[in-house]
Amino acid sequence: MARLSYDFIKGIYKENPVFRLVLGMCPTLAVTTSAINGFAMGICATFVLTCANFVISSLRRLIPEKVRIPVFIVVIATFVTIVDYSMKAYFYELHKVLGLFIPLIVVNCIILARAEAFASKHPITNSLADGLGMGTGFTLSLVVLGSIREILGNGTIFNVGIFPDAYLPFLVMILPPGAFIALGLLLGIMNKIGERA
Amino acid sequence: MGIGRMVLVLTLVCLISAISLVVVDSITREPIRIQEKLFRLKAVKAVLPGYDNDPDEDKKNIAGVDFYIGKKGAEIVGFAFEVREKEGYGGTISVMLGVTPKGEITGIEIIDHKETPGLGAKITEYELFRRQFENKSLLNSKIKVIKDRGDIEAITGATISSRAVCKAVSKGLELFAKVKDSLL
Repeated sequence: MARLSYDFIKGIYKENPVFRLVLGMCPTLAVTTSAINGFAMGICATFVLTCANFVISSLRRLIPEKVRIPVFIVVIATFVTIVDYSMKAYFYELHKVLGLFIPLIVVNCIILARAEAFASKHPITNSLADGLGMGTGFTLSLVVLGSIREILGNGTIFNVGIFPDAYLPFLVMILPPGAFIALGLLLGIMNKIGERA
Repeated sequence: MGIGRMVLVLTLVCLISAISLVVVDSITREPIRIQEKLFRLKAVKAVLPGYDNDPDEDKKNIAGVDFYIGKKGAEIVGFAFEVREKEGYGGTISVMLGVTPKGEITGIEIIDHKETPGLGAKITEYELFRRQFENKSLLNSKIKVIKDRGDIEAITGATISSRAVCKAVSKGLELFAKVKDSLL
């Protein structure tokens, strides 16, 4: 039981996929132009990650070593397509915004990395905990990054204005360079904190 | 570990994946079609002025473009149609354009775009930007951003996106002028 909660919690800070493992940088940099985009992307990735971990963990004794990567990719791609279709059918407006990034979840290396490093070697319950934990860590990181960029670059958070009208948004934070700047600073701060602990 | 087993496992996994995708597709296909249609119709309704018919029933296809016709009683009050402009910042921008029979704009809605979220994407969020186009026509205004000596104020930091919307709108007005006679 202690092991289970550890598998969940490690993804949030100790092995945080964005700030500690530095994986999945493509969606991290691309979608975090606002807090809500980061949140939605995180939730979608968490769903795919948890489902993929579950399936791969339950098939782990059946998959031959040499074809494991193609099998992982097929499983992940299937779940991503399911998310893509369901979102289009039931959350059309959100899909209009995030649609471009959903197929990218297939190549999100966090998901493949967890399948390879964790789910293919651990029992189902632990893999589920790992998927949920890593997903939560990923979502939190994206929300933090998205919030910082949205506050500085647009003067809002979750689309709510927080500055007086006179505030001139720091546009570059919403553009791609702002993603690198914000991520770099956050990584630096996290490393500093990690050193001390 | 034989090659046969590898082939077998991979085939089985792909087969199961394909079957589940077929199931998901058959469940979501109809809702997706309805959503897409609703979304377009919402834009049509937003850009047409006071009408009392169902513009979806009264539409004409000319030169490959669907013209939704708004009528009040028997009188035609406006047309709504989609125009695309390839030169957005991130790709094609699709605009639903509403015009009176005289060629004056009654409203525009952005249907689809690939502009930068939080920046160029403001063309869909800033109503004031879109309201600027109202009552303008090829005769009474220059549908260009102010930087290009036109009458439209671009969104700060999103000149290219604003310019593309202007281009789409003027292309639409030109198209309308051309096909007007076969519509009325």
